[in-house]
Amino acid sequence: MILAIALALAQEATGLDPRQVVGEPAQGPLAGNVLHDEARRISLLLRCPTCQGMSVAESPAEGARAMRDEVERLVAQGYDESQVLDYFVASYGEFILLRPRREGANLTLWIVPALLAAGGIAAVAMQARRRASLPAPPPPASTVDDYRARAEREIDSA
Amino acid sequence: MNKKVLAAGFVLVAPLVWVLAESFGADPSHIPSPLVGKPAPAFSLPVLDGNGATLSLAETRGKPTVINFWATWCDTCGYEHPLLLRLARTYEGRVHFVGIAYLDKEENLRKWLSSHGGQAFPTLIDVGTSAAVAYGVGRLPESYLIDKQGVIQHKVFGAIDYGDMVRRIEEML
Amino acid sequence: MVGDAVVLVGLAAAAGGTVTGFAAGATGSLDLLRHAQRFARTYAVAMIAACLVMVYALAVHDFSVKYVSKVGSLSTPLHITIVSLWSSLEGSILLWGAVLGAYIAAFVSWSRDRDVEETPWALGTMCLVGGFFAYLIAHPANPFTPAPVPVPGDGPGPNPLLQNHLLMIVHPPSLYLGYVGMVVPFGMAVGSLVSGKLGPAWTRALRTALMWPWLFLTAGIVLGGWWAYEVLGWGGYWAWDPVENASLLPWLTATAALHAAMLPSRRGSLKGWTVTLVLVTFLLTLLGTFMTRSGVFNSVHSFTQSAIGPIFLGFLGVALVACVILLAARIDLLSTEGDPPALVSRETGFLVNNVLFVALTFTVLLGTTFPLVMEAVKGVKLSVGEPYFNQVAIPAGIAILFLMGVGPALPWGEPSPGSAWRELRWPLALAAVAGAGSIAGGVDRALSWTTLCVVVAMFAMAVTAREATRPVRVRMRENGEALGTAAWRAFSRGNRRLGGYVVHAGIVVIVVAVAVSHAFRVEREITLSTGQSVAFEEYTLTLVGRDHVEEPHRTRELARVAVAGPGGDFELAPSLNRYGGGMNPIGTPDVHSTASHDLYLSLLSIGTDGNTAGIHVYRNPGILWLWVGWAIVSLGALVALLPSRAGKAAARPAEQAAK
Repeated sequence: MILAIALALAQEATGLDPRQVVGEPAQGPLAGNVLHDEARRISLLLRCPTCQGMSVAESPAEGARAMRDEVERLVAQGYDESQVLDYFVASYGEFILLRPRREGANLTLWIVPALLAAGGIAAVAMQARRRASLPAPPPPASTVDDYRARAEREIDSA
Repeated sequence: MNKKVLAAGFVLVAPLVWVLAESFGADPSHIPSPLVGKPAPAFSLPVLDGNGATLSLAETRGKPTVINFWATWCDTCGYEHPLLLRLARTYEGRVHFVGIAYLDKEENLRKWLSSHGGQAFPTLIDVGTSAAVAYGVGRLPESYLIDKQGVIQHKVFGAIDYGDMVRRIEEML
Repeated sequence: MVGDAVVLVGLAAAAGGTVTGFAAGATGSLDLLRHAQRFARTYAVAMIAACLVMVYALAVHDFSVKYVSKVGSLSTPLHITIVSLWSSLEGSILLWGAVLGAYIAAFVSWSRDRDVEETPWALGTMCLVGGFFAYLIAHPANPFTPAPVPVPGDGPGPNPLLQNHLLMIVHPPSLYLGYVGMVVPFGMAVGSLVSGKLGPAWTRALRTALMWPWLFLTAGIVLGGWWAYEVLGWGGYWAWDPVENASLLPWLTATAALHAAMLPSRRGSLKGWTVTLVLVTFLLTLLGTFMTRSGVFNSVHSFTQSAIGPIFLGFLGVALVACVILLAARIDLLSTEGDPPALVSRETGFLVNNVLFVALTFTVLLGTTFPLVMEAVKGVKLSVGEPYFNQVAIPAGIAILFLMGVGPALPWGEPSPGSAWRELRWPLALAAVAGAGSIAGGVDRALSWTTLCVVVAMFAMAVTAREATRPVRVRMRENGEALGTAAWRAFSRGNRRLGGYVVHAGIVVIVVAVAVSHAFRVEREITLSTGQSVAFEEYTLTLVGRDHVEEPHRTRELARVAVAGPGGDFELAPSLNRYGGGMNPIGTPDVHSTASHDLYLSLLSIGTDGNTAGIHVYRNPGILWLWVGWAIVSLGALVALLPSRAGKAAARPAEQAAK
């Protein structure tokens, strides 16, 4: 709790006001392990601007560690994930987010994989269903076992 | 000729090659700032050797301002410092120059400045990286040109170019 | 210069090989094929020689050669000097060429007694690719150009990251052996398309041609992750960096191609899949090389923009278009008529497998290139990083894992009613028990994905173990053989099948290790003064002191930390290494590995008074099993690659038929 107040006061001392950018904090102030975990979770979503694609949480660069402290300052005051991310985006641009916002053209990133997987499996299923409508009589059991045995042998020697 | 394969192939290949070709020459590390055209984030930071005094952005309103984020451990910052000193002296009284030290210590700053031409303009000490984050500072040095109304007109990535700075300052006067 | 001359010989030989190879294919002339084979062998010798010339120049510190003056240094130890061959662009293209030559020579040796219709086309294609790389070495990326006068007396040495760890000696060559090796199956697939045939003998050869580079590519990828873990100091091993993705993409399609090539040749539809996947694999290796070399991508690996970028893109573009046209024109010849497979059959399993792998490949490619697309189309700078890739890869990985379990348990052809259920019920039961066990065991963090992953993994492992041992059990039951005899016979006659299941087992181990290491990682940043202790999980860490080590090519600052743990006491010494050239110091972590977890220390800073140290501590569970899993995968691949009696027996009649 003391740490949270200290962090908040430190923020005040700079005269910088996140409220100008993202409004009032959405939740209550956090402290202790909860603060640390939440700050780390959010830091994993922010890109370190001086590194090559690493997150602010994982980069050993000093600038990244300072940005982690900044995230912790904001979270300590009660800003939630979307507010913290918005705050960084306001000054760095969308580039700072390691996962693009789910809006507009960015949705392609989620729609295309889903379509490919679902569509592909559907195509396979439909092809298989075609077989069901073929007028082939069910083969006698011995032929099936025969085929299976031959297939196994081919695979084993393949 | 399997038309489906042909069509699918070109649908995949053409955009890929086009995108890769377009991306030549683009510097992957140059990121435009979203703050250009917006009011500069307000701050109020302690001044180096100011005996506890602080300088706030509001105090610079009415004149164009150049904010320079730098550090003693950044070599490029060292190269551009004489240029900034020259600019500060040329435009003394007409343009505010403010330096904000990024992740640096007071003794380092004091020592460095005194051996590099003294302090022609105030150097502020950031709290952690609060001001730097508010301004979207990535790789040092970065400088911001703010007009009389407090709106950021331009962001310089890397060391300043003297002629370019003169031109932009003249526009803001 | 000797190097230049040798490379030009290689270029000429490749050109000769291409022309005679394609001519041999068009005319069916055996003489022309022999010429092509000779040209190809000459190419191989030339490229390997060029590589050796450069290694020699590096070893004797001949700074009159520009490349040596760029990456060589009198103060680097000999083994690092040799490694500096691939530390920068021109040298690594030399390595590309040498490995390419070696693979082409291997193909020539293999194909010498097999005058199959596809061989000349395959050889011609490989020589064409070889020629392109020889051209790159000869002109735009020439490492033999003389250094500008005056000749420097010393050089800056290779990139410090390369000097930090022994793994950097094995990771790039392994990756190259994987990447470059894909040119052989590529050529063979082109041969198949031109001839319009993909027969059982050629398919078998294609599988082998795929499996060797696959083995090395897997090693390259895993070693890259291991290096990142041991060297980069952020406690992780995979960051979905564009260059990492570049190595993963061909691995995914190569894996799919291997599976597609396994099916009995009666299934025509998978022949088309096989050939397409092989072509795509090689094209992805070209794309990957481009991504790493062009400077277009923002990445840990990226080299500065080099002149070969546009040329390489040109070659890639031409290759892409040519492959599309070739596929469109000839793929229908390969696909024979056949009934579509039943819904619940192993054939369908293979098809779904292809779909999933291709979807995942495309997704990773999309995510990697999306920032470029958005910048080109909208002028917006975006990042697509680890959070996104993890989000899409985890469900895909679990789906593939599930398929790994279901697939081998599915019956071939027309399933008799209830046969699928009969096969699957025991593994499913085991998986359910594992799931219940992990929930009861208190797994309440990151519950959903991790537990699901463990459950599916148990299921897959159960099926894999059962299928792997099935031939032994069948032999014991039906032939009355003793365990030892049955096991030996099953192994020697079915090594390919067994090898495949061992690989699956290894993959399951790796996936579980990845899931566990992510979900249960604990980390903390601490600042310690000398003599101060802090408790972290089951350990007590005490900063004992600090060391300063001078080595010829670097200075090291170490922080010595005494660790008291339940299993005993030990010392870890993470360090900051400073190399010449004014670059920022590079942190080297120190790791204590046990079977259940790693204790990982990374040095962030040393106080100016020398009495404090900022340390990032991690407890990463399951890391050891990543490497063990990889060893299992490699073992399985080697088992599958062993020459098998059954394989030889089947090959002989097929070859008789082909003649």
